Amino acid sequence: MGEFFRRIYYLLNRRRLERELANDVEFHREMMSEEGRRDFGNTLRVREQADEVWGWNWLDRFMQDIRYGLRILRRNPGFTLVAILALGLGIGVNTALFSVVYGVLLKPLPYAQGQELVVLNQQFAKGSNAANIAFSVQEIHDYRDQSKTLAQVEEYHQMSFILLDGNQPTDVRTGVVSAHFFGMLGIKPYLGRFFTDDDDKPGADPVLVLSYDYWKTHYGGDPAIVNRHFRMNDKIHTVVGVLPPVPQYPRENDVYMTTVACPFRSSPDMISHRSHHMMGLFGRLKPEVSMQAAGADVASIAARMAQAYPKDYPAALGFTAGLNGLHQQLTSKVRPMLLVLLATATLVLLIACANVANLALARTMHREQELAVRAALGASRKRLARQLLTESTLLSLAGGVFGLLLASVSLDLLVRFVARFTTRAAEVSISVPVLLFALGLSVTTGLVFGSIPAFFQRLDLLPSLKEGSNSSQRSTKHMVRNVLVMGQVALSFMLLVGAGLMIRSFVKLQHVNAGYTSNNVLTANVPLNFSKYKKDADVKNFFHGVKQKLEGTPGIQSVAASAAPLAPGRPMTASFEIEGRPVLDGQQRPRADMIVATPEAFPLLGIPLIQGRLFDRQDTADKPAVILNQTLARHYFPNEDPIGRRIAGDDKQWITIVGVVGDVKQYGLDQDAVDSLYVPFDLSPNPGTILVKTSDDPMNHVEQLRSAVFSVDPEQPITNIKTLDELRGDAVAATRLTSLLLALFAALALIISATGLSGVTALLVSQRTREVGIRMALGAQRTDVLGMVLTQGMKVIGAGLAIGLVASLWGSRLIQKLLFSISAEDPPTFLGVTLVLIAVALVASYVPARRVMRVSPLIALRSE
Amino acid sequence: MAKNEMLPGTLGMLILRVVQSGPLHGYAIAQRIHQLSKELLQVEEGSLYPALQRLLLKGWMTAEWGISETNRKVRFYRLTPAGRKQLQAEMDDFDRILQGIQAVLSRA
Repeated sequence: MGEFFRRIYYLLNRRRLERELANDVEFHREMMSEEGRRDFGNTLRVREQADEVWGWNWLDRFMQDIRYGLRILRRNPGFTLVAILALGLGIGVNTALFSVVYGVLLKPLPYAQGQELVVLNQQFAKGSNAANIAFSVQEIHDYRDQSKTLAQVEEYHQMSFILLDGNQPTDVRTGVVSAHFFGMLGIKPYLGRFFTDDDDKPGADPVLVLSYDYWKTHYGGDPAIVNRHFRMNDKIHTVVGVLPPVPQYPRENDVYMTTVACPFRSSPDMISHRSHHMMGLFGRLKPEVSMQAAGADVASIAARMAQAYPKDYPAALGFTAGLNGLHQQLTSKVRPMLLVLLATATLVLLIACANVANLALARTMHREQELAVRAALGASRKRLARQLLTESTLLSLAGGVFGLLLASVSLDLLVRFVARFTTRAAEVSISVPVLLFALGLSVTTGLVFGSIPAFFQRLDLLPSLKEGSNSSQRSTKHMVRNVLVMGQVALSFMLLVGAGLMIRSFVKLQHVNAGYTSNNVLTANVPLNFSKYKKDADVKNFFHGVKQKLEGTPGIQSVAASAAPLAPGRPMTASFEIEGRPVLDGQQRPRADMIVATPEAFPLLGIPLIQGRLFDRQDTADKPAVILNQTLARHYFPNEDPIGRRIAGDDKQWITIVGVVGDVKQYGLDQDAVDSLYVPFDLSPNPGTILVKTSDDPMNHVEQLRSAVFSVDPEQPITNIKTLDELRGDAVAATRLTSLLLALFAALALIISATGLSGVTALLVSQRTREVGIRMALGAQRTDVLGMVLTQGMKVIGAGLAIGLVASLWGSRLIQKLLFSISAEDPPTFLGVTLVLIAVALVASYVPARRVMRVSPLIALRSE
Repeated sequence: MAKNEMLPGTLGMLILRVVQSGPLHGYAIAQRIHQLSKELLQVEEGSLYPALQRLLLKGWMTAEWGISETNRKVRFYRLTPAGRKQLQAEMDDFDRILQGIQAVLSRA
């Protein structure tokens, strides 16, 4: 221990101690010469041997290497700049993507023991639709009461309510939660308190908790917010607390209320019906309980429920339940895409590495003399290799700084991109782990690309000092360079294939016939205050009032109510029965989306009428009508005419089918249309989406829409104002952005590889100047020698292409999930990429190869 | 140095031993070893000064400024209590090993 500190002391006082040692040695010499014993040796060596004992000489050498390396790099600004740029780009894209991967996939949830949080799910596994279904009040009680593995079971659902605070009415995203939801997450109130059991008892006064953001933006962070009263759903709600600024899961909300305050959740109908599924269910595992054990526990509860209530869970449908980690649930959508992007970014870095290694290798060829002289003066091979590694690490660290800069500039863009897929995007930042990653990556990069020239640096002094001789060592190096170029070509090929496949998917997605025309249509939601619009007639009057106001104004062609295709969220679904085909007990009733539409909606959206008629005045409450989409018609009336047939909903009222219309891809361009029923707005008015067809840019008419709604009901907010074109754009955004990023990476890779290829050809040309001179002196044509040089380059490229092809056939399967309607081995893409690469390679090698043609035989022969 | 080769690892012990009787400078240490060994052992500066640095680093000696017989400022090396203990241990070890070697040589 004492020795350790003495070593530090020696490090800190080296100058003085070195002087003292030198003095000792000098004195020794003086005494020796006084006695007549002469020693003409250098005292430096003695001193060096002595202070070697202190154990700090490596530091000296290291600093020397750095100083020398910096000088070398400064003297080659071209090389230094290119290397820093290439490495910076590689490290930058990796750092940016890693910060996203870390924030979204790796970082634990920002809650106490986040790994214990789970999301429950249940489904009819054997039903026609095996997707997860939500939970009913009774089911929630069952899971909560019977679970042995969950410490807590809490419910959540999201609603949109109108909040009146005396100023403008605002539509607020409202999370409806059971009392201990926040306690389960393990967060503490920022202000005031969270909900208690008393708040969640039937008849309790409604209370609210505000999100931090909503409190900041709408109430300026006023601490007097606690105990303020707001009107919602015709009741007075009291604010009791504010959430801390943590990311909210499963979704962002503006305010939170308890289950008893939500008029839908607390209705007697909802509470008494086991089959009214609406809520999400979350839980926290008891300590030491595994996810599997909890899953089995939940499944056995579901099995007991199915046994106890066979009417609600027909045995044929295979009712079952399970659970997932919350973390896994939140990131499942974004994981494959992020991993693909990170993998491609790694390829870009590999290419950059290979390229810079190539440049460095070329440079050590020029530096052979310098290195040989140093070796002759006593530098060991190890020392020289260390020098080269120090230089490469310096370069890659500079590249790392540049890359970090790039990453922080581009992070905003990436976060916005990822936010479409996961709420965790808000947690992405350049944090300490990201910085460490960038540092580690830089050092590794430097060591990797530096070790290639360092390894192939042989110190055969004689051939090196006799510059220009063609030693066998040169051909080894040349082979290494060819392998590096081959690698770059192969990796670029893979990246280009990836980008090509994504771009083709995107183009195909854009040209999908979605069954409607999207141009010049404005859509908006008017979430009617249901406590104000209690009667159907009120809703009808509201809509027709707005429609009348709008239709008179210039630029508006027509106004309709319907569902907006590709809008987020799902319309209602309804189960039905076809006349003459009774549904037996234990069998599933047919189910379809139910869209409430006015007759104008079909021509407005360009949905073609295939058969029968649209809604009209004949449709009355006594003679109700319904329109089918083609998918449903084909599905249930494959060989018969559906017009005139009747179906009935849960209320057993028979409704006549009056028409069949074309299919609309409602949920995504990559998803087939689903069974859908259209019911007339006038018979079951529903505050859905208003569609406005305009004669010019729909966004020019937003104010008209606002004032029309305002003139009918000044307390009515309008939300989600968008054009159908925008919604369509949103639907392809993920594919577009992924292809954009991949294309960017591929372009980077191509540029980097092209410069590498150019460099190799240039070197080839300069090395063969003499040979070319001889050939030309013997009568070879300029085009012949050009061909000769190009052929040699193309051999390397051809090999790279072959490797890239095989690797891509294997690797492209990894992105199959992200592709749309093309195979991962799409021949046009592979062919196109091959052609592009060959063209780029030809240009890249032609430019330096041209110099061969200008070689004058005389000068060439004299050149060595 | 070939004819005066020492047993490896014994130089430190010899240095500690000669400064036991009082602080000495580097040259004096070399001289003293030379004389005491009946001019059998000669310590070169190339091994003396690294050895001195090692002993200083171990904390078995300290160095302090003094004036030489030729009236020059030079460092004198002094044994520390830890050095004294170390010396004793090394001498005991050395004795034992020597006995062992002798035993083998005389009986084999």
